[in-house]
Amino acid sequence: MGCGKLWAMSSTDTVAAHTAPQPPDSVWRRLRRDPQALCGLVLVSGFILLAVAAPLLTPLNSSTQYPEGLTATGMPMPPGTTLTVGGARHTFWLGSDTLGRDLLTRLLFGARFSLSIGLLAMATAIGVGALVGLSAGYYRGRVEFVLMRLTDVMLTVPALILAIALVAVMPRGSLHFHLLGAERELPRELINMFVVIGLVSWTGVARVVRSETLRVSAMEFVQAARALGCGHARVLFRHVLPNVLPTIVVLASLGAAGAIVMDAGLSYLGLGVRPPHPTWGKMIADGQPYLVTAPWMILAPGLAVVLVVLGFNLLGQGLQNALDPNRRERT
Amino acid sequence: MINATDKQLAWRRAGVLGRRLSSRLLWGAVTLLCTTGIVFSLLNLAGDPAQAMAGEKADKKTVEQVRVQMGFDRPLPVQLAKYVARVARGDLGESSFYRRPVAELLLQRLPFTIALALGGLLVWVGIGVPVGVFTALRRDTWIDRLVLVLAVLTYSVPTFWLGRMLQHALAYRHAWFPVGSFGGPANLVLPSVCLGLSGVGYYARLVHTNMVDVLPSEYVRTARAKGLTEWVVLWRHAFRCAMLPVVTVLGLDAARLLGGVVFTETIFAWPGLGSQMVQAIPNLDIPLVLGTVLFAAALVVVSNIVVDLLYFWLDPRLRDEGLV
Repeated sequence: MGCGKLWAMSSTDTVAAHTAPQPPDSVWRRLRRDPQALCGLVLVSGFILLAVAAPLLTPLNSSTQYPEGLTATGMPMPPGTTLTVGGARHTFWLGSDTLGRDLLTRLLFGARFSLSIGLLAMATAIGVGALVGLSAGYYRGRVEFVLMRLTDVMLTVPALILAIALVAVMPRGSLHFHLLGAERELPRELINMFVVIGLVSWTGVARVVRSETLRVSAMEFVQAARALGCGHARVLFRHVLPNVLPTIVVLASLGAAGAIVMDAGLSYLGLGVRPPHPTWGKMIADGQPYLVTAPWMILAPGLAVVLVVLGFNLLGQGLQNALDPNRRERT
Repeated sequence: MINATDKQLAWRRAGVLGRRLSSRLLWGAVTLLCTTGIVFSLLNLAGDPAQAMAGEKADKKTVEQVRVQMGFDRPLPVQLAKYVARVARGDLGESSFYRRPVAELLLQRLPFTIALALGGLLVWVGIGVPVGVFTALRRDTWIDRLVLVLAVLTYSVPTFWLGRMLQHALAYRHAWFPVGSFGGPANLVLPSVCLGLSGVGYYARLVHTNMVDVLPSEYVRTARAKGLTEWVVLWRHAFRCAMLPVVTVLGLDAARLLGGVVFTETIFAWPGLGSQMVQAIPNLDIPLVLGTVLFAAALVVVSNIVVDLLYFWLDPRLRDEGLV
């Protein structure tokens, strides 16, 4: 098409002049100077590291019920108890639950489920929402009418209530597959959860992305790109999308927070990844009858959810301020 | 219409309002029919309703029996058309557990959910609005920053965890409030606070942002220049304008409020729609689950219409549209 070179020229001339996408280093500098955003970044990356390194951090199994983990009367051990488990000394840093399982181990492996479901659900919601929003805002006309009415209709159904209904009818069980030479097992609910949470939460993304796309599409450099003979797809993905991307990044961070809360909620109701797999929501549900005798059972997973969600929310807000300094001055 | 009398003007205003209301009602009905179609299709695509109703461990024969009995063996478009037609007549089917019409079960629980939602809304607005106005006036001070962090914290705490903690601290340890269930107005306090706290931070920020936008505007300066007291300038002039976007969001957030109701009702054993839906899942009562989803959507549509009318009343520009 010969449009690539022209695009490169037009973008340096006009994109910089009109929308001024932030050079990445200045965004990073602003983010680094914002204590809240930094806090969010530390929390989020910390939890991701803990989840990835889970097998290195604990010698125990997340679903094994250790008889040593219970007192003589069958009560869970309080946090910090050191015992001999399977011939080796082990400290139950967060205590044990009513089945003698190590809470820290369950929390770490639970982070793998919570975070992967949260991030995959967010990616699904962003993927669908951004595609709908971009198409509606760029093509306008009939496409916009149909897509935005669909969004309006979906917005009338409370996301959580629809998610509960969908998860309730979905097939459950295990998926078996070969990876890296070993037979592996994945709970099917993991896939159910992220697909459902993604499918019920794309509407907000679509609305915001559409209004951003409308704003960007009206700018001169977009019309210039069209005039230079670039195809719609090229204009949309090479010119419009990069300018909508900052908004999408912010929505992604806030969306991950929402998805993790929803996953915890559905697991709390017993609709998430099934036992004995550890999930934070189910751990809260399991712990609540023992709030008086073993408060650590409900406090630890609850605080984990709060901290990770707080992290994503703070990071999202920090990104918003860093990517859009004008807004920052207003608020 | 310079010479129109007050009475004529009032009639015309009523006409504008009536047209707007009727178009909103019609649009709401169309939306709900579309919602019914989409939700029904999604539910059938996501899983097998016959299997879900028969139970996970049911044998093939039972599943097939349920499938024929409930009409799930028909082609999906036929089922869809039948279901939408039934819903349009107000028939949501029969609960497979209670053996009673779903609509009846839902209407029985509705007053409780509405009471709780209004209680939650009161907490949202009752705390969120004053805090937002206050922080807008004390902008960029330490208290403003502190409130900002607290605000983020309030919407990061999951409702179900917060609810348990509140219940434990305020109803169990110190018996200041009833632990749960329904027995009188005191039973409504804790669930409302639990439901409301999740939105307080968000509304405080929203009001804050809007007030900060409005305060330096010209008509606020004009109001001050007229010699009005600061109190009147703030609440009669700036605040009213700052509330317009807040009211819009409030309409959209009716859906969020109803989602929060599910956990709050479950934890406090509040006999509303949410706890009934949660109980319907282990009962494999798919008609009741589906009915609750559609009913919740209807509630959202109705609340959006109410907000639209509220907007109409708040914003004189809209009210007088096409009159002058």
